[in-house]
Amino acid sequence: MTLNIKKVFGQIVHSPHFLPISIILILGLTPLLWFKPGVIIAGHDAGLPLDPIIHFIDRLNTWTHRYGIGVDQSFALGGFFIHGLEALISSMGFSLVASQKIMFIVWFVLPGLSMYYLGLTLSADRKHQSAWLIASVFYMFNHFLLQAWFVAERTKFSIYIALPFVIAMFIKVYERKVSSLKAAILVGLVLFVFNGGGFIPLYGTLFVTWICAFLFFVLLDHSWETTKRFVSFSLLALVCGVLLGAFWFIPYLYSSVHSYATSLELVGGLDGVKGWITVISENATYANLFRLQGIQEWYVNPLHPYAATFLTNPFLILASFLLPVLAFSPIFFAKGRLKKYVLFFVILSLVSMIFSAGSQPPFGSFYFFLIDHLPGFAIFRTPFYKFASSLWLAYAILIGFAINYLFSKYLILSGRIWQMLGVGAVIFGIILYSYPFLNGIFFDYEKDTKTTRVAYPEYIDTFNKQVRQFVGKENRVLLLPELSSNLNIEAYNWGFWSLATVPSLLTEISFISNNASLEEPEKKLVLSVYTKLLARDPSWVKLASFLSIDGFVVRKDFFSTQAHYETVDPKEYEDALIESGLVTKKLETGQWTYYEYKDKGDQFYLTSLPVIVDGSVNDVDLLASLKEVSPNSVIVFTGYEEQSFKKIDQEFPQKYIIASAQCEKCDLRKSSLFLPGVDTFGIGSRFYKVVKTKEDQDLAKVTLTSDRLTALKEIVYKRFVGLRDMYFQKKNVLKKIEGIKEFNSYLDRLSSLLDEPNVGNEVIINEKIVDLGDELEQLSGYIDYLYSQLSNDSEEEVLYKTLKKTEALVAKTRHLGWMTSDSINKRYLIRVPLDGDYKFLLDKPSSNFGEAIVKQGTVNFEIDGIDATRGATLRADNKWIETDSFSLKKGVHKLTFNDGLTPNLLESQVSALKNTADSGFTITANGQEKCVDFLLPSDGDRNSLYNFEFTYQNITGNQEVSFYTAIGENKKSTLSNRGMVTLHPERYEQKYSQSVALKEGESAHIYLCSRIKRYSDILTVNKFTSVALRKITKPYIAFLGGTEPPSAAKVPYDTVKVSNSKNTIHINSDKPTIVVFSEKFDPLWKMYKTLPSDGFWTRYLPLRGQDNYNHFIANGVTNGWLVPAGDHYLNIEFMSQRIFNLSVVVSVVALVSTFLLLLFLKKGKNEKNI
Amino acid sequence: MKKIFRIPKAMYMFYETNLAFLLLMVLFNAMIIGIAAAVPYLNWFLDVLPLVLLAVDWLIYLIRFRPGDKVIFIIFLSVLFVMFIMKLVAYEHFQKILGIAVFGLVVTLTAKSLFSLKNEQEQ
Repeated sequence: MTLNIKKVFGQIVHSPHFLPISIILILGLTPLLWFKPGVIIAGHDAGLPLDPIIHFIDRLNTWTHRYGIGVDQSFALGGFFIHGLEALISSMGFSLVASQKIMFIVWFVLPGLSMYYLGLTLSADRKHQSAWLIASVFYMFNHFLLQAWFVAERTKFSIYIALPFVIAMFIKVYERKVSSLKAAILVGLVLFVFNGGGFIPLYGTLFVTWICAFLFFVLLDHSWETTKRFVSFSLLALVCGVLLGAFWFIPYLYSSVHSYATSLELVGGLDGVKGWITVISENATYANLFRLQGIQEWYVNPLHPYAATFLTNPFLILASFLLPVLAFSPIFFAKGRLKKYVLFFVILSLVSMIFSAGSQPPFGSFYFFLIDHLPGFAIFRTPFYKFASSLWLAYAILIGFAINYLFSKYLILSGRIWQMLGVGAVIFGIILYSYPFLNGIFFDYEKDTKTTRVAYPEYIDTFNKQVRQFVGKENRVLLLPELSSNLNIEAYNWGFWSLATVPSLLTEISFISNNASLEEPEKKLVLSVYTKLLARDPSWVKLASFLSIDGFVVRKDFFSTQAHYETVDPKEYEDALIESGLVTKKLETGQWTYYEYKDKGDQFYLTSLPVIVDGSVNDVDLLASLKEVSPNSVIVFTGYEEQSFKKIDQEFPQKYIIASAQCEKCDLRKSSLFLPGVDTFGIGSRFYKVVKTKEDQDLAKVTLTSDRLTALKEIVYKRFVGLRDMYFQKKNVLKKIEGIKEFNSYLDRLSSLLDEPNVGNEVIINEKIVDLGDELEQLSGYIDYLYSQLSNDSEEEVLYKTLKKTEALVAKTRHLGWMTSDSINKRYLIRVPLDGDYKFLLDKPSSNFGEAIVKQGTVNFEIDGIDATRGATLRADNKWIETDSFSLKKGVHKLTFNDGLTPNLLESQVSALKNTADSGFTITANGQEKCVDFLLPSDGDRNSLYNFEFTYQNITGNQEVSFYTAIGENKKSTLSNRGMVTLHPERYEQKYSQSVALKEGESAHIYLCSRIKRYSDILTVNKFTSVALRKITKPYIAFLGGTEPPSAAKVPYDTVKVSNSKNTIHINSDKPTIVVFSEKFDPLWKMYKTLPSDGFWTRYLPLRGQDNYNHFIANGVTNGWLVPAGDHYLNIEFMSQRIFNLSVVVSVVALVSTFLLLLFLKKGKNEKNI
Repeated sequence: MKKIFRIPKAMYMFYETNLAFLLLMVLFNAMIIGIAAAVPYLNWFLDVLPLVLLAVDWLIYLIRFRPGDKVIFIIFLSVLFVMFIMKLVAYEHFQKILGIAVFGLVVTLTAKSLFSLKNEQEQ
């Protein structure tokens, strides 16, 4: 059989689909218009790799070094095909820019082809060809994709491409053109490739479409046979999809189960999610959605490159109104077979609108109901972006259909040529309506300021290639300067601007910075290295050692002066590095320089110098500055892993112990009372008893006193809201009395809980008690308000009891809680981990009184109410003050330390205002607002907290006192955490204080006012005395115990890095050793003995049994294991990789099986035909 | 109604027309909104009231006059046109309500078409 090329070519050319598909392909070349000479697309959220091959290979590991100090990327393995395509194109030898062009063309053209396939499924009739061509073009050129293209959201395109195919399969199953099994396999295969990068929230649109199609077709036929067919199709498609996509789905599920709660917490819990949905859906009104608008970015970004044109140009607004007219007109003229499909797409568009509108009425509460009650639905935090694809799809089909019908019916000049011209004009119109596609201005996401079209400098690529001779996968390099403190932005003067660092897109090597992907303790550690390096504080060496930093990259092209995202000049870091004398310049290409650290090592260090610390990871920088902590030490924080701590305590009898004292409410901030919105089925409701029983049952399950206190407190606040609402609704007096009594019973329960033994002797519960006191104080204010709404005596009697009970509770919390209440007497809690002798250590720079202590040679403090004055000496480092030792028992101790008074920053300004005998001043007002403006000195430490305090008294009149802080001259912009504070006019002197946070480099004012009161024109005089603004100090105090460990020789070891997720280590030591592996701590990192035959199954099966080595968090962030004495060959492996390996096997088997099944089905069909 | 209240024929004919219905509805709606605005305890209801009234009016209209698809489509176009004007004068709140009204209209049209489709299938 010979292939007749001419014949085949002729068949293609004469195919009825040749012209439409050719048009789609030609239009698919549009991305070529976007690239100006010398630019590539990078930055913002694009995540486009700068070295696609390396990026792709790295994505095959569940553990990556590209972010932070290593991170589990099990949730991102679905990007296999997206990054695989990029790597494939790149491996063919194309340049980065050429690869991007090819890739963009592929992603641009596929939605069009997919849509055309759906059209042909609906009707292969030639008379509908124009409809499907128009639909395809509309599906490629629209505002939804335009918004996605600025960061080339390949994950979104992926699902967008799959969507028409899925609907086509539904139709084929409905029309029995294909069996349920075959359709399910085909859907599975399509979703295998176009899997949305494995990002489940993007499946929202697919779920909605699926449910919609299922219900529509099943209900339309209303037959058991059709129902069976669609149930089997759906179930089989699910099985195929899960098995084929097992390679990403199983690790994703595994990772999500572990991280869903944490991720939810990070976005503020369900309330945070709902708040965000309300913000993001603000403009997704039905009025906008009908016109295919409502993208939030259009309305909130004044520098949006094209939104303003579409929002203000009357012709474009009119054009937008044509869309719903065209889309819904087919309801009238669709006839015959196509009518039901038209109705399906209309319904799909309406359902998609309901979901895309998020919190918008009238279905917003339904969306929130799903968030609250459908487990996992909270992943759809941005409704518009997750559900609107199906809306555009439905509109594309309907508009195509409508235009085709109108042309065939009403085009005056009939004939194919005229029809073609008409279709051409429509296509031209569609493209023109999405005109930014033609010039690529959508990449300029902030007009004239920021763009994702950047001129990527060649020297970075050269640097990446050359630095590999000095840095391997086992090394870690610190990027200099640090990213901006605002949002942690990586910005270069060649245009790149993103949360992702350039090295994370370029290489698989660990280049670290204070990147947004770092969690709080890691960020603190990394930032401490920056700060100390810049301050020439030699303790940066210890912190660098904890992080296993082997080198530094100074990036002189870093845009350190960008407005709002300022950071340190790279040159300053370079000077600090050179001055340290600990680095050698190894490479300089263009603006990037690599300095190698003298103690370059690998990801491991072995030590027998544990330092036991009871305290916060946030103090790690201070701890590192102690001489007791050496670069070779490992800090073991107690409280995380009790088992490991005990074991280390046994194995290393000689070691330092540090108990870090925690200053309780040093910042003088008061906890704010947040009342719930409503007490559903609360007091007075028929269902109250049921609710109460359930609450009591839940409460009984809580074992920890501190948790019980939180739970009970929340119920008390809920009950109060119920009671308050009874007053608002003007309920019957008897009912109100009943409600108050019930509320009182809850106050009694709260009081009994506080009477339990040992309450107040724990660090965690202490904070909760102190906060409870603050909140109850505010609650008593609300009760006071109810008191003013009384209607009879018996009501007054019970409510009076409520008030008294609340006040008694406040007093009890104040008695129990250990807290700092002024800026001088600091109160601390210390948890001493072991009995022993301890020295008092004070960080001199953080204390206001440090200098005085050094002078007088003694330090005064109290422990558990007993005076503990000791002789004090300043250490040679001129930083730490230490005392003689004294004995402390294991457990929690209370410490009081007097830190003296910081100067009043407003002193001169206050004295200038003096007009009373007692050094105060008055503000006289007559019905209008009058303020005194204090300008804050700009030379102060603006990143610290300050306490603003004053005494006020109302001499005459009734105007309230208020104060607020403001940036610049804008009085509305408040800096204090509580905004404007208003105080009642009091006839007796009242003290008031409020902590105020000031930001650096801003001119700030404090306004103290006599505030206007409605209907008041009485002369008011308010007097103010003792007005002061003082810096709030937070002296760091620690207790040092234990004994100096013997100096030990370095334990030799050999390591082999098998992959990102596996290392082997050989240790031979006659003493127990701690192995510190400087990747981020994750319980899935396991240490186990290397088996003699590391065979096939050991790569795929999860480790049986537990690892025998105590795994703990070393230095607050990394992995540590305690290895006993002896000769050990050990593997350190990230177990998630095995799950991935196993899942890949499942996917491959499923892929082969589906192909075999398809062949079998085809063969069966052929035989049947014969 | 005619028998009970003995409404004069001319008046009854007036009542039968769409225009009268529209006028009655406008008056009725204005009255309810007026009450809601005047009584402080009902103020909170003002945000959703126009929407509720619109839905009620629409249902009464559908039941009373049984309009054909074309009439509904003309109403649909008219509402879109009013929306366009509202957009030009940037009167967002009213536009929002009209958006929901358009939604209701399309739902009505779809429901009607679905019923007719079902009827066709059954025949």
